[in-house]
Amino acid sequence: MNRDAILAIAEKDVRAVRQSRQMMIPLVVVPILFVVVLPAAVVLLPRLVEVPTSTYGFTDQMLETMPASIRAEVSGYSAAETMVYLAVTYLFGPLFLVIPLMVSNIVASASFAGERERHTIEGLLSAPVSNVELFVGKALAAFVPAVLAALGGFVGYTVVVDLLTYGQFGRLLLPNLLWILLVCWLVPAVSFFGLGVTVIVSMRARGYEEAQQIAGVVVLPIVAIVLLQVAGVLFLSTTVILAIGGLFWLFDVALVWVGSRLFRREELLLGPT
Amino acid sequence: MPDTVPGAVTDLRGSAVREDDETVAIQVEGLVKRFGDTVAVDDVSFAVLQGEIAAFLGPNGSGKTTLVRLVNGVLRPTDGTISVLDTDPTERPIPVQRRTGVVTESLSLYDRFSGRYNLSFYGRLYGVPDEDLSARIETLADLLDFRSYLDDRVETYSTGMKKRLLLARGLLHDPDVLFLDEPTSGLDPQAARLVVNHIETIRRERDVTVFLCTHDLQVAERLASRIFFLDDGAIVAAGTPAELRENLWPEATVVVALDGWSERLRGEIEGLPWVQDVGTADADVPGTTTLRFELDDRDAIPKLVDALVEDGIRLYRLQEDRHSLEDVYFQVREALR
Repeated sequence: MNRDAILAIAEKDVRAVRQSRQMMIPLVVVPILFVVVLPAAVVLLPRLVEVPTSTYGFTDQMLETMPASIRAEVSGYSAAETMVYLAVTYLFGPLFLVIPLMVSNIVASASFAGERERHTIEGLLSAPVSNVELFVGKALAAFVPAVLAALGGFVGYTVVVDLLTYGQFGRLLLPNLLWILLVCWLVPAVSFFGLGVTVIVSMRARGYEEAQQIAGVVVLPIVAIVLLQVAGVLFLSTTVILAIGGLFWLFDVALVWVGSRLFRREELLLGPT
Repeated sequence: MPDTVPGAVTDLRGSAVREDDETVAIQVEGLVKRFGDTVAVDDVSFAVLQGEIAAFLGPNGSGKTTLVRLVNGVLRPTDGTISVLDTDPTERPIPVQRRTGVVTESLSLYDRFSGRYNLSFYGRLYGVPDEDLSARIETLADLLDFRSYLDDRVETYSTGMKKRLLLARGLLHDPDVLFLDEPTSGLDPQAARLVVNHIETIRRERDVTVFLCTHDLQVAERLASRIFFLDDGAIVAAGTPAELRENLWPEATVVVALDGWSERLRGEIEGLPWVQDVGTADADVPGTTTLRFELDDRDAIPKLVDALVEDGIRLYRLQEDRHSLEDVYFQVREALR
């Protein structure tokens, strides 16, 4: 395999994203929202405004459906502290996955569909680059920034949460084992899933925007996890994270298989027939 | 096999220019490419010799671009075989693409990056050694006259500069075969001349085989040793420019500036069996009579000169009135109607 060609393709794609305001705005805004705005709102709002008692009632209901280990963690906390603790350590976990998913979706959308839209695909296909090298280069361009964004986001989120909650709890809430597993095991699996789906869609989409919109369905599993958690059906314990991560890695293997079957240079050049 | 134009040479194998020690760079046999019900390339066979410039001419949609993509291994043929530098690009595109350069018809460049980045990116894809890459980029930018714009974003380049950048990209890895798809389209005469001169130079100095697809008949006439006319995906006429002319117009026309002409002599010359007609032409040598002689074939030209000189005529200028490639092109098109 031509490693330099793979790196050249990946670097070029990342550079293209960095130079596109259309792509950079969501890449900056969304992580700030998840890393700073959301935890700040959850931690600071109860201090600034009176929270309706029904909110705490909802927290109590949710707590009842949670495993005993989680209930033990919050024993002794006030209703307000319980709400903050559950939000920043459990509820925001799946929401955080939106960051790598979005990064991989945006970068991978621009991969083949963007090349075709800008008429640059022919030069690329005329060059001595194999299908595998092309696919890996494009995938790396989406995977590495997605994982790095998640890692950076995690560091930022940890700092923000600890700064905001240390006074209240008298200890550092993050990092904990759950979040470390989330970032190191689930984030790479989810990122690869996002880029795999998007690259496959991007091969057949007419343009970058169409690819991004269609591939937006990758967010559905994350929405499902959030809803299941709110409904009290599923909680992101370490075991659940390991299991969901394993499931995503299986999907990823299937996506590589499907992607290699669907990879046709002729369609990449001429568009879907 | 599709019909060819009656009377047009079909020198598909390069026999007119092949010598024993010459090698075939591109060999295509029975090539067919269909997109659904549309036949884009229809049973095409030809050979291009190493170091030759072969021009493929034809109207839009005649299959020129598809042919380039097939021969360079970007598209897979529906039927037929292709060999480029003794390798099948359909089965092994990478070794072929390593030794070929392409100037695509579309300006397939990354507009938001500089010209230097574009070249450097492709240099890495083509495996140009890091230590040579910068020097090669600058040498080509110098030769193609865009060195001072090398660090500007490509979106600020004119079409002419983009074409030159594409040509530089195609030459970056020193290819043995160069595919040029409309290399001069959209260029002003000065830029077109620069590109044409450079193609001529690299062919001469580096023995590069050039596969040229073009609408520009002047460019084809100047550069190509053989011409292939494509229509509806099929080769309908082929040969060297001279062969095509001779086969389409076997008669010869010469314009002669002479002194000592008389009506008696006119009668005598018109009576010769290989002279078809004698008429006047615009005088271009002062103090002489300028006449146009239409002859049966080119072999009659020296006979005409002998006859005139024997009759005491002084010749000041003799020029064969040759049909241009444009005439050939339209004659071929006319014959296809």
